[in-house]
Amino acid sequence: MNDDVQLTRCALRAAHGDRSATETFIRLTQQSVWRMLAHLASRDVADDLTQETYARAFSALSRFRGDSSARTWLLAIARRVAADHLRQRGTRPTLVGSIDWQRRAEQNQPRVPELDEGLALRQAMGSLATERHEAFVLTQITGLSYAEAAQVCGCRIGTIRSRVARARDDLRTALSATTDTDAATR
Amino acid sequence: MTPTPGRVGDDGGMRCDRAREGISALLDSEDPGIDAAVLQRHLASCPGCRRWQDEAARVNRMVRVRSTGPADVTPDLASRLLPQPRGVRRLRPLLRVSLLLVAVVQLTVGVAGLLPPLGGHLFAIGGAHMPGMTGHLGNETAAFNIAIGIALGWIAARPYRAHGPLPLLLAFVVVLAGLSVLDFATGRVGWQRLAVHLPVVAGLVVAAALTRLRPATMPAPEGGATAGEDSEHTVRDEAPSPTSTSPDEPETGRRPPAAWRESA
Repeated sequence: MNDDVQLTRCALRAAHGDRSATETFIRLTQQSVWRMLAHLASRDVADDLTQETYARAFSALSRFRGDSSARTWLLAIARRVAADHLRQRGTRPTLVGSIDWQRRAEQNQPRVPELDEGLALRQAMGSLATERHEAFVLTQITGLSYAEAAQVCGCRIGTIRSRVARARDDLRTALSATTDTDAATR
Repeated sequence: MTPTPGRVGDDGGMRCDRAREGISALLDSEDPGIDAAVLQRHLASCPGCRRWQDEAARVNRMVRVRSTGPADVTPDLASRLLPQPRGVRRLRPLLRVSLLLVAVVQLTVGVAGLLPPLGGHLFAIGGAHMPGMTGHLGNETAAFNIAIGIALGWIAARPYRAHGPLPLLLAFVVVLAGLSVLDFATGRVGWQRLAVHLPVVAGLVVAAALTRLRPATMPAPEGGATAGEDSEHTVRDEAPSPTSTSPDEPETGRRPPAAWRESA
């Protein structure tokens, strides 16, 4: 909670033209914004979408009153940026190019079946329905609580709970389907 | 509430989808939205939900390990994200209006070149007052002046696209300046006629200034320290100070991924 209070103070000071507060605000938030956009859209466009998010945020900052935490306020903007981008593109990529799974696997998990599993997970996440995907990324990747995710998505906590559960169900089904296919081909 | 096939009888009628929402929420240490004792009773009597719980937990571990590890490093974009000072932002509309005015003057110059000469006029804008400027050559000059006026107006309307016409404008102004100096020195042109070129020069300057002010697509400074290979360290080193976070929060994220805690 300390983080959020500090961040919201930064945002309010930045709204009054405090340059160093603006820099702190960016430093404290850019990682989670970038990572969230990399998952919601793709890693390739995450830089540009992050830039667009902050451009929108700074032009709307004068209207930020600190009613909600600055973190969820900013992530809500990032969510809209991602949604606009996906609407323009028409589709979401089935392979969410956000996880450097190969490098990570080489570092930590050198076994080949693990690679297959990571790829299957990426494919499964990429094929989640948009709302479930959002709820899942916000709570599992960004690490928001259900209450915060509900603020970002503009819905009720129960809706987040239900979307996360359904996303888990979809992932479970997709992953067990790939495992079954693997077993059948062997 | 949609009916589900997995309805279980001996636990007060809790449906499997509600139970699974509760299981899923508990995996995230969130409020399951249902009574824990009821959920336990349902789990005890429903093998389907017990299997679901195991598989969901497995998915959870995969996600935590794979998608959020130290290798999922984010770049430091701070230099690209900082907004421009307020003064610079206010300059922008001013420059666009000025460019539009310059475009109108330039168009006027171009169109005037098509009209019959205005004898004795201060700037003698008419094309035919000089030998060699009559006939088709005058029309050609007029067409070029009009085209430049349109280009300036286009930049004023779409400053993001100014990079296209800018090289042409720059080349035109540079060559024209060289020739003008030469012609003026040899007495082939008077200052009145040279004044007609001023709108083009002004247009180039304003258009160039406008392209330097792009707020949303401002490029990162070349060779900047923040864009180089040390960006990973920059981000990590500048995470919030330990005093502002609880001991189990090594990063800016509220709940650090389990993988970091496990593999750290």
